[in-house]
Amino acid sequence: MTGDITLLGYGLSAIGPAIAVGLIFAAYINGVARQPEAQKLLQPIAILGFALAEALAIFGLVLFFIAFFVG
Amino acid sequence: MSSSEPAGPEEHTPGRGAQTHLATDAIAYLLAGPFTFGGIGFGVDHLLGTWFVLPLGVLAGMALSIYLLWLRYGTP
Amino acid sequence: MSATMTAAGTLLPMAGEESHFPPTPADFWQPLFPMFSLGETTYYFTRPMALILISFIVLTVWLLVSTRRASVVPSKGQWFTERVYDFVRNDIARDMIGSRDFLRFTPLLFALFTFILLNNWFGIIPPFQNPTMARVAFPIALTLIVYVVYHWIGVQKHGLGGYFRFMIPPGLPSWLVPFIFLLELMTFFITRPLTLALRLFGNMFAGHMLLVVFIIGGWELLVHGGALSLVALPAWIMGAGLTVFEALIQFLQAYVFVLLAASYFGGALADEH
Repeated sequence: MTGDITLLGYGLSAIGPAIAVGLIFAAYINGVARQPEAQKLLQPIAILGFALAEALAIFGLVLFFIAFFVG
Repeated sequence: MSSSEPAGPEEHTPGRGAQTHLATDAIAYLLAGPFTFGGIGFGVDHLLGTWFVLPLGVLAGMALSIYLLWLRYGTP
Repeated sequence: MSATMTAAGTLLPMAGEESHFPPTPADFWQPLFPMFSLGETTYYFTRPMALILISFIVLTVWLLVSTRRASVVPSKGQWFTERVYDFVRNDIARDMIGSRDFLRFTPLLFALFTFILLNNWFGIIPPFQNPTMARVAFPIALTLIVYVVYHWIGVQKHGLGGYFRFMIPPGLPSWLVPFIFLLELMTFFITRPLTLALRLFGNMFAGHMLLVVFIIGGWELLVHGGALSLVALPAWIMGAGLTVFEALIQFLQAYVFVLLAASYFGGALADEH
């Protein structure tokens, strides 16, 4: 069995952001379900938190491509 | 098929399309930034024989992406 | 000989043949017979192509038969067709696009939904057992249709200049405008359709891979596993459970694809905000 270890690395590094995104949206849905009028307030925070967590996963993807094609 | 609503202008309900593709667009934006500017950085590196423009491009692209997301969806 | 062997051999490895066990992406290329050659390359008629033809025939026959004698009091077949149509028309098209413009997109969305759903379900229906969308070219072709339509209606609605001006959000420092514009261009024209196509492809591909791992893995354990051959039974039970799970995922992916296509149409038609 042969393959590239960077693939495995990316798979592992995607676990963290996946859990983070799940937690962020769970909290967001909880908040909106309890107080629907807070949606306007919560949505920017949720989107920003999602973007920051997802950024790490995408850094992983970019690094995988760099390691795969460049280095 | 045979049922047709009266489509007067006062009956018009706008679609939720613009809000719904927010979540998937977020990923599209976040992908576009690092890959565009990282790609430009890769090209510059290739031309000039340097090494630091590619990581710089990736970081700058990510920063731009997050800034754009904040501007579009983050400001109420 | 070898072509049919590959088609059958991916799901049913013969004892004594070389092991298929860790299934590879190459296993998804299943040629049936060569069609024509151009230069060095020979082009094959593959199993997904056969499946897509079958799905086309099945859908055509179903829709023609169930709507041929449409009546106010529907028969069972007509009722079912109307339920599916209503689902796409009301729950997807009208919700996403808005009640003014949705009717002209409903035929396209209905065609996309039934086509993708049937082709996804081919992944678990016994004689076919290969999701067509696990070859990346098929989702890309479907995405291209959506892509052309949503840019076309966007340009029609806002005009060419207005469409591009729509991309730059207000309240931007002027020195950032060229960078943001480049970013928006990439998002609108490349990554957004790419994520739409790859979401469908990735789900179908990985889901089918998972089923193949459990079912062929169970077979390998039974034949070559020695003491481990007892584990074959749990592996197959797991495979059966995952098949049910896959049926859900396959429906969900067809729904999500059409939902997102409709939301892109709705976004392109939306008034300035």
